[in-house]
Amino acid sequence: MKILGYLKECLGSLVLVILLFVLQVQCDLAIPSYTRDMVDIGISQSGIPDAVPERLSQQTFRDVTLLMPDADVTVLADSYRREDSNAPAAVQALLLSFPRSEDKKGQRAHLSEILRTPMALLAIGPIAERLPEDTPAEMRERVEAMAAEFDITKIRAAEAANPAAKDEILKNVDAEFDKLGEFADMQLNTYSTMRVQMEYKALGMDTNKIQKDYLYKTGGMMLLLSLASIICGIIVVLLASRAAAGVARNLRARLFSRVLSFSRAETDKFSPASLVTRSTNDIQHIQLALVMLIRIAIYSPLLGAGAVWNVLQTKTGMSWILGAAVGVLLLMLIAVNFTVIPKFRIMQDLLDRLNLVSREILTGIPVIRAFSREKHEEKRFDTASRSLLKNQLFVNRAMSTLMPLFFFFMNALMVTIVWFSAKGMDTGSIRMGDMMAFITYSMQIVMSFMMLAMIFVFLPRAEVAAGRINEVLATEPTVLDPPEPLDDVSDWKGEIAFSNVSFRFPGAEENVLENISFTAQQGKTTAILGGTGSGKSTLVQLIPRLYDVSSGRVTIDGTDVRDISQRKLRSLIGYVPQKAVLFSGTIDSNLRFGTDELAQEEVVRAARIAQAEDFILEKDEQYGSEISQGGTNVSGGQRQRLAIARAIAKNPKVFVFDDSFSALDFKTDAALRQALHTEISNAALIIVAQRISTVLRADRIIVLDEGRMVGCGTHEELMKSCPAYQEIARSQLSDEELSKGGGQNG
Amino acid sequence: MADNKQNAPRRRMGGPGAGIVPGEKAKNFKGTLGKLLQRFGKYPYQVAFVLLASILGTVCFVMGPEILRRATNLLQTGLQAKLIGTGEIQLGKIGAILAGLLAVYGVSALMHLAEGLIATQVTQKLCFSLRREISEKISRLPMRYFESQPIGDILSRITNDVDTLSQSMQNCFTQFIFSVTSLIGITVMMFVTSWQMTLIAFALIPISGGLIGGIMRVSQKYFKRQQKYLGEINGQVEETFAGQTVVKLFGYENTAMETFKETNSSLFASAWKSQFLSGLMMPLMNFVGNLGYVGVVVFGAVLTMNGTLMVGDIVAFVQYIRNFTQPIQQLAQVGNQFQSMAAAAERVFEFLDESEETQDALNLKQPDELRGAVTFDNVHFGYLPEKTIINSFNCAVQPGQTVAIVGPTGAGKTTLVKLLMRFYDVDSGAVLVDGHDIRELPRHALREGFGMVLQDTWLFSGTIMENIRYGRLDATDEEVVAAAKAAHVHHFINTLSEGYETHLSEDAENLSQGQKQLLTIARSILADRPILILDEATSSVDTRTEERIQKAMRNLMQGRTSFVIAHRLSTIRDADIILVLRDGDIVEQGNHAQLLERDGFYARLYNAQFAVG
Repeated sequence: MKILGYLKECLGSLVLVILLFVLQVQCDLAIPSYTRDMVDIGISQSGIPDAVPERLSQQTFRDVTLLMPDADVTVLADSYRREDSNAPAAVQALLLSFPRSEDKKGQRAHLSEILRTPMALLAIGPIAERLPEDTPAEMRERVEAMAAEFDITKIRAAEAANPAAKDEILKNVDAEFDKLGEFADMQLNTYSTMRVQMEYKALGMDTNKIQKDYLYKTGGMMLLLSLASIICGIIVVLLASRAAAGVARNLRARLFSRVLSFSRAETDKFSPASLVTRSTNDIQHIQLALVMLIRIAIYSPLLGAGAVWNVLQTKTGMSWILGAAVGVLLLMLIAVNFTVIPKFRIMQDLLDRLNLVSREILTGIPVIRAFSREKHEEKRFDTASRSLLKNQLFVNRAMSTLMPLFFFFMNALMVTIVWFSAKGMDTGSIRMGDMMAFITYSMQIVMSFMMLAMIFVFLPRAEVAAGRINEVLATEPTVLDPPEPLDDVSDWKGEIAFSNVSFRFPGAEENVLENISFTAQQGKTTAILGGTGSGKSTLVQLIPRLYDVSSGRVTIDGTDVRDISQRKLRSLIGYVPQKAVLFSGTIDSNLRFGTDELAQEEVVRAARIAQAEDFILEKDEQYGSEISQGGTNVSGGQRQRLAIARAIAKNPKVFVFDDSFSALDFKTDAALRQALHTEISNAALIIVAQRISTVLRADRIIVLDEGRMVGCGTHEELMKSCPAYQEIARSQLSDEELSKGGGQNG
Repeated sequence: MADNKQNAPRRRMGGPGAGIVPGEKAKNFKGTLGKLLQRFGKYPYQVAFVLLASILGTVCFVMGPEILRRATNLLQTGLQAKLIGTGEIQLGKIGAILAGLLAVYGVSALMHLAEGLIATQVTQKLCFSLRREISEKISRLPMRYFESQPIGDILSRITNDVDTLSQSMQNCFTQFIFSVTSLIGITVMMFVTSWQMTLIAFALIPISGGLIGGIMRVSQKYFKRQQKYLGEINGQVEETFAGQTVVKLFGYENTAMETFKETNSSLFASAWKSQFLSGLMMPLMNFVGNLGYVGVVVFGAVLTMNGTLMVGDIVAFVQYIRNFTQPIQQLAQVGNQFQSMAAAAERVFEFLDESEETQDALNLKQPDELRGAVTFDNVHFGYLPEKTIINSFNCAVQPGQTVAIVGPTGAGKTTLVKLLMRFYDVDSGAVLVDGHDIRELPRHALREGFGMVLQDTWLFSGTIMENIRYGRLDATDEEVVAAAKAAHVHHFINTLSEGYETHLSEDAENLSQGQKQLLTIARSILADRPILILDEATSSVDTRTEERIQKAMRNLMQGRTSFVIAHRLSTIRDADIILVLRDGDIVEQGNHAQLLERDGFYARLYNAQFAVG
């Protein structure tokens, strides 16, 4: 994928982002497990995590030892020490000899394992005494029977009488709990922690405070984790935004400088409008896509994978529900991909179509009204509008269906989990907190799945944008500077010579220009005449190297134009293109375009020669008058005159007027040519024209027809010798005018 | 998702940046909204149903956690009893509750589904009819409007603005209803479950409200800045690329690059900041959510100690808290969307409210077939009321005569044509066709008397056949071909691989200017109207094509009254009447010889062409 290529630019940030996400995902995944502890330990077990009491009375200690194998008694004895207190030794409690923080190698877990059954047995007696009123009789009997069997006073007596009785008792215990089956484990936990709480109460400890402390501590951890998660999140957003905006900035700069380096051969491939779209909208799309990509495409899979791992760890036996959910989701996505997404894609086409029809109507209003075709156009608009309506209805209906469906799916998933959790609790395989954690993990998995799916909706568009940008970046400019330019000639005269020049557009089959040779001398006017498609514009574009010749050579003062740097070459040429282009700024800044160190007189002189002085002086701000982008605030003729003045102000050695007079009326045209003739005598003048009246007085007229030179000479010579010229002249001038023009000229 | 224009965020799926981009604000928010609502009034049953379904669906949605709470509490007590050995989990009862819950969620989904489908139907139909109204409006607006308004602006009202409406209307209304209903519903349910914990949830409102507001305010600043620099970059790029050749010819590349780099780095700064700030929304809201979650779980747990609360209550509350922050966030976004929707609607309504061309009176007489006699009788006219440019112009043209309109660039040569076709009405005096004042003819009847070939050739995307047939919609294929032959374009059409069925692309890029003009001439030949309006400017056409065009035009003008905006001397010389324009006014009239004799402006103009320079 092309868009991934851009990520190379910000590899450093990317690595950092991945690290931060790993951290964040760990935090996000840890939070549900704390919820589980909160419910299962904090609430169900009153904040007592296991069967290990922190403090223990000596009596309980002794009772416990009666109910465990001798090997375990040694471990237990090593774990508790006398509380350092001033109370008499006999009533002193025992203290756990290692605080929880120093629990190494699962010492505490082992201790809990040892203590669990004895502590649970010790709990049965008190529990039986305080059974709730509404306990079913059958259950009451069972608990009371157990309490009777494991009555501690009886056991104390039995063991005092015969130490070997211990083995018998322990066997009974195992048998009793075997009856409970899977449920035994949970029940042991419950009983033993209840016994721990009773122990604390007996020792006068505040059990409420113990529970609250546990809840607050766990809550505090959750908050800390959230905080860590959000900090990671914020840094990631920062990195992602900077990285994406940075990529966009660099792309824009590369694109801009690449387009500037293009010659006509390359710019012809792209329309200016499309280049603008590429460097603004397309890049903006990529920037957005990159932010999304960095933030979602890395985080979601990490979170999803982590959640799956955690779910598998819980051993709740409900993983199949998630498998099924993801399967259903996948089916939904596939269905959407084949039904809705294609309609999404054509939406833009339909909008474009409506846009096109609207634009056609708006630009054609005079014609539409002249032909009274309003109804016809309304119908055309309606057709486009209706097909857009159909598509929009489909897409929006699909979305209106999908969203409730998706939410129903999520809710149904939750209900399913609760139901199977209830069954699981009945068999003792899971607890309340497990269920809550499982629900949270499931939602995380489903959501990260959805987020990933969303990437696939918007990524294709960014891909298209990236493709369009890369297309420009991959286009190599064909007109290049020579490695060692011959710029150091101090005295350029400006004689342009074509020798055996042929040119064909890249990829074309035929030459546009065929074997052209002529010289345009300093101080002389050379005119190039021919119809559209005769290649006359192309011909003059070879001089400033807007294109390079295909064969032959173009020289300036005998030096091949390809041996001079483009900058130097173009500084020698004053070129006025067919379509006058001005830049936003002032008249002055436009006339000084590219030549900053120009004296004011030079600017004024140029404007005068170009017949622009009158209208400039009429303006309030004169030379400081604002020019809007593209020069749209001056008329076509004024724009053309300013473009001519701009070329004159440069004081070049060679002038090229590429059909530059067509926007001028006859009068201005004539005055301008008169002024050029008198004021500019030391430069070579090359004029491309269609109107024969423009070229009558040229020192040499070159007649082009379909890329070949069919005539070369003055008006009179050509009138005698060149049939093509005669044909053009006759079509434009009457005999009377021909002789009038010719007469004055001769 | 973050691209609001194309894919406005759907309900409950707001992503980073969604709804945060500042929209344009409507000048008259209330009034516009009122007008919009009025349009909804056309669908009273649908709107009522949507409202009802939405509320019902949301109520079901909100009830869900409450029902779940019962199941969980039952589960919890059962489990607790079972663990102590004093009871059993009542699986049967729990199952029944869960089945009920599933049903409630099902109803909620169904309601939202129905609501969505109907809302889609209503909003899209509404947008469709808005588009239709606009297109009909275009036909009724005076020419003046189109000449004073940039096409891009009108275009953006038809497409972008209506599109914005279609994207945001449904979102706005359904999201608004959903957010408000669920806020209320959740609040009530929370209070029912536990008032103590509800207070915790309420503590979140100022926190999240403050966060949302703060982030939106700050990021809007940067979004605006980004928008500004984007515009600047856009301008620079457009200008430089359009003038790329000139930039190179004048060695301006380095300067251009420097300026670009400057704007580019400003854009970068505002781009990443706005991106960052809007991106903060999601993690921050998550954090607030977590804050509520932890608060509920911790305090809920503490409350279970004295039996005030059960685990099921906590489970329910966790869900409420999750669903509680969402509508707050959504309401903020909806607020923004409302703004941009109102701005779009306002622009559309503005267009629909533009004053229209005076409509033809109903009792106007249908003229017999026009012969083509045109009289300008003491005509005064100015585009602006205070600036009359045509003063007491009189001129009588016989059927079949040719009138050449000449004058320097910008002299207003098309004004006469516009008066003649009644694109504008004269200020005083009258224009008469066959003796009828054109204001007393139905517009379409008048205009059906005219054929027209303009310099800006207008072709539409469609086949060549369709484009020519535009002149007379009921013309047979043979008639179209005959017209093309008369316009000397038949041969060219046949060289195209698909001939008359060739599809013209946008702006007909596959044709040259001259060929386009020939097609429009063929169209006018086919239309066969008694009066012709021709614009001769063919500067960008090569000589051979020009010759062909000239021949075609001569064919066309045969036997018709023609008004020609003339550039060619041969046309001018052969014209029966030459009207010479200067600064909008007709300064001279007569034929070539008369005018030369007068030795006035026309003579100067004529001689200038040969005043050798």
